[in-house]
Amino acid sequence: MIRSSLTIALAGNPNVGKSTIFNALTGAQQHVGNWPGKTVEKREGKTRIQDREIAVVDLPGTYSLAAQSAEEIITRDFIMHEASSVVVVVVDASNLERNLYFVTQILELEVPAILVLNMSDAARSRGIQIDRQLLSQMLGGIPVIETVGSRQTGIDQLKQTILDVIDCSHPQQIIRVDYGEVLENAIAALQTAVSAEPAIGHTYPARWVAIKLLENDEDMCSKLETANYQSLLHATQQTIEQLGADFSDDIETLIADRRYRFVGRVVEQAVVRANTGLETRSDKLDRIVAHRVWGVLIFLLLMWLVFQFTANVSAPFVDWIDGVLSGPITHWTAAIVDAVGLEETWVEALLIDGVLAGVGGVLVFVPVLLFLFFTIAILEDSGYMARAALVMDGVMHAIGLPGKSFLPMIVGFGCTVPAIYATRTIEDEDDRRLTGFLLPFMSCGARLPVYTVFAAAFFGANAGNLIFGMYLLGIAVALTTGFVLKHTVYREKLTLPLVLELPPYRVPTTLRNVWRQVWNRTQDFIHNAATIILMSSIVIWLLLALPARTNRGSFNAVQAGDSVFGSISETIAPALAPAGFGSWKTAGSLLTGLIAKEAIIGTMNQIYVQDTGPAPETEPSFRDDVVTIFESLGETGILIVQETVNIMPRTLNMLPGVSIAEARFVDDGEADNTTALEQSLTSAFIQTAGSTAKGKLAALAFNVFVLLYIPCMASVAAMRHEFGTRWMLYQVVYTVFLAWLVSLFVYQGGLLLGLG
Amino acid sequence: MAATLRDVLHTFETRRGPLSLNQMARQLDMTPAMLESMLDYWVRKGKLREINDETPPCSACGHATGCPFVMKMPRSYELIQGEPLPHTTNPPCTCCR
Repeated sequence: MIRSSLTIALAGNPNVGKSTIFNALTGAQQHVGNWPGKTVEKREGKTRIQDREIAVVDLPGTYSLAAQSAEEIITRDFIMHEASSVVVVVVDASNLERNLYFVTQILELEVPAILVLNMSDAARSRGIQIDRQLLSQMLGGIPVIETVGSRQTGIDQLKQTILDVIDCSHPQQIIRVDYGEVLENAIAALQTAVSAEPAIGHTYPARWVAIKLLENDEDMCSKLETANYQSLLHATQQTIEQLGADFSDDIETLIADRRYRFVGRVVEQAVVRANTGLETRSDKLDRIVAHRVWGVLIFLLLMWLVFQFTANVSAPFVDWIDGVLSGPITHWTAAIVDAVGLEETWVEALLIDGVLAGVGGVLVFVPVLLFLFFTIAILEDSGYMARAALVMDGVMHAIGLPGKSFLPMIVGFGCTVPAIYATRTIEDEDDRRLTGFLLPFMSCGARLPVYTVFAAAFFGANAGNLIFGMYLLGIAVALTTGFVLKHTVYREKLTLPLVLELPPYRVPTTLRNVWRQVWNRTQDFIHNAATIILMSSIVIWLLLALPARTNRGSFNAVQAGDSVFGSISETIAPALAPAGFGSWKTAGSLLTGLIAKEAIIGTMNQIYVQDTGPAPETEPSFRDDVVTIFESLGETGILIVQETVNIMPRTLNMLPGVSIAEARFVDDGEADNTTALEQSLTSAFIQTAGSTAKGKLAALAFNVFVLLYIPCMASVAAMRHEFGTRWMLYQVVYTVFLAWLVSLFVYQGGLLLGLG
Repeated sequence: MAATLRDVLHTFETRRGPLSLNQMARQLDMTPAMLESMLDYWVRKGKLREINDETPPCSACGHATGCPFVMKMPRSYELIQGEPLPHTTNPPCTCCR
């Protein structure tokens, strides 16, 4: 406990920079503890002004002195009872209206106070000018100081003013908020009654006690009850009843309204804004971007651009990594295995056909995730995602879904597991369960590599459109499921509107922030590849190496179709045949996709890409490999620039009658840029379906299945943890059945329409 | 300032669909900061709920700084129907990938 004969208290709303002022005043002389009997932090320190030592207490941040929370009671009691010499009220100068409500309550306590307009630089940069003299005058002569706590600006003037107020050389009047004639009469009557009770009338300002009694302040009423002031309590009760007959509203709200009116008047006169209208540039832009119709179209257009960018710009990088992994890295691994005498053993097969094919096949798609997360980070940083949330909330509200569902749904685009936990922000249990039920349909990042590989293999220039379509389909299925549930199971429930704070638009200038977000999110994908995918690749390799029957081969010498994995997959393949992808290989890939969606690609690399063609006549040397890696990297860089430049003409070319030539920085002739997996998938799907067109339809149906069935085991566990086994089972059955039904519809519907 | 605290609450009660804080402030002919102050009042009174970016941590993936997929979403307010429910505070997360 820091003792001094003089004490100043710092009070204010949360997040106004009170702590920076406290630090600027006290420096290193601080003590942090808890308020007696509370878990609220108490910060005390000392400051020396001229030759006087003054104790400084940082009171908890609070919006009011209504004694409804521990922070409010601590603040109020300290100011009233701890005999503080001065109360320094810190406010955010750029948000004065929000802070002045608290200031009026402090001033009503009739204690010597100083008003500190902190963050005054931020206010000035927003074109806010505060007439300090007029503000002081309207607040009863309270000294008004401008500071920038973070830069210690104005602290010396504050210290001098503290001394002036302590020495009473800065006279202050008592401010009186005008509560209107009827309320003022009631206050005056109660004030007289309070003054008649010396014990209370001398401890607290009588007018303040009268106002608190009219507000039905629990703390004040209980103090009077404890002290047995029955007549005063009775008079209060009678006054409240009388006022209740005069007004239709509760007295506390009427009093608060009058305070807000007072604050409004003060701000109107003492604050001048550069932008005199209420509408800022961001507001004007929001008229279109956050519009309930235009906003949806802009959201869709931006999403389309994001996936065009992701699919096309990342493609050269994906090809490069695939080339490096399937070329030099595979050569080097084989060479090391040969060097230790394990050539053509199961160890070589495990490393090359298991680990490299599985994990490497997934890591190839790191650039896709990098580009996707980069564009999303830019949208987040620019302030657009908040608008997207508003627009999506509008769409959901329009079909009767809970507004707050958009929060977890947007998280679901990254990963379903945290999205399920994010439903905890929804208080209503039915709404929470409903939102959790819809989340698996929001396409998570792990599904993107599957779309990317199929889009490149089957849809060429329309790759971006396919990916965009998958995300849209996911949203549409989620909204339709929600709509059906909302109008059947949860039809009694009303949906409540939200009021959202939209941050101003800004150009993302801190690339470090953007990169941190991108890297943290991509890291998760790489982490999964190194753990879950590695383990599943080893298990799948083992199941592929074990023959299902002894007469079908031996360990590591068995046809994939005759292996344990092939036999298990074969049993479920017929169920998928009506949807066009009834081979054991697709069935097996979908089975491993239950562990994690990235595993689908890993498994496909293991079972589809068995033979990469004839071996070259002469193995490239280590030097040749290194030269190839760097040469192809240079070309990849140029191709990335080319694809970025081509986004705009490609977008405009979709408009009827527009034909803009695309840039071509690298003349790669008719080079085949498809990966080994893409080639294998194309031929396998066409072979299973019977024709190229049918193969394309089957590929589309397969992607739909991947989008709609269970995201991964972790999400199932999260669902069980949050909503119980029953709801988890409902979700598993529903998503698998719906995936089968919709993919069947896509394939058979396409055939009926003559698309296959 | 024409709009009262009741006007603010009434806008929530009668509104269909979401609204931005600035749009609401314009509708009520007041500054957004003044509206926020009035919203604070109704939050304290238990009539409105303030929703901050309160997504519970899911640290099972090993990210020291919390889940990277959780986006910072805008602060928002909603009407409370009936008795306010106790706030949910970060229950243990057992998800494990």
